[in-house]
Amino acid sequence: MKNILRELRTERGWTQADLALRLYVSRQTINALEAGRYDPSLPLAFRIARLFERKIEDIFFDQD
Amino acid sequence: MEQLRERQHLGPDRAPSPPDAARARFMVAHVILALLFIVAMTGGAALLSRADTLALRVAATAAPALVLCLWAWEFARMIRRADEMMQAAHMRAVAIAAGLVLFAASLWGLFEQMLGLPAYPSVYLLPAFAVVYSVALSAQGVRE
Repeated sequence: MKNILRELRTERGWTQADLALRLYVSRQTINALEAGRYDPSLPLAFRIARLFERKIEDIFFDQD
Repeated sequence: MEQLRERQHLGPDRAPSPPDAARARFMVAHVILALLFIVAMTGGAALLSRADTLALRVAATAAPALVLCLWAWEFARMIRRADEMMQAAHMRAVAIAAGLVLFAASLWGLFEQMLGLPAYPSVYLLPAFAVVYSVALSAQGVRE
């Protein structure tokens, strides 16, 4: 699933480790999310949306 | 300015995220326990050569067995404390490794019975599992 996570992160000057700490996940998960290799669970998607103060559908895009 | 305040809030020596910290802890524990296992096996072998009582032989065997149990506990703890993606990756790798090693051991057992091959030394089952597990985890594209 495509997303704009990398853009949102870099806008705030955060490293992947910074974002991982804020979301209570590993840096590998952030790496996989940004590369589109992993789709977050619903609770994680909501945490991401709350952190960036956006709607989930404004961050993640269904490719179908 | 807002970004600078955010970074300062995290602090210059900010701790890693809990899943990253759990993984780092396991890597350290893994190395220590591997070294301890070598020491326990070496010491146990030396003790066994001089052991003339059952109690001594049990003690010589118990040391490496205890280290293996500690390793398994640390491994399970690391998986429990991992995040959702890493837990799923670890469990897939464990399932693949366990399945392949069991299948290979069963095949060997079949050849042992039918063709008279020597018995497979079961002490190598866990190392075989560890190797296949590592490959299975890497094959899932878990990247640093």
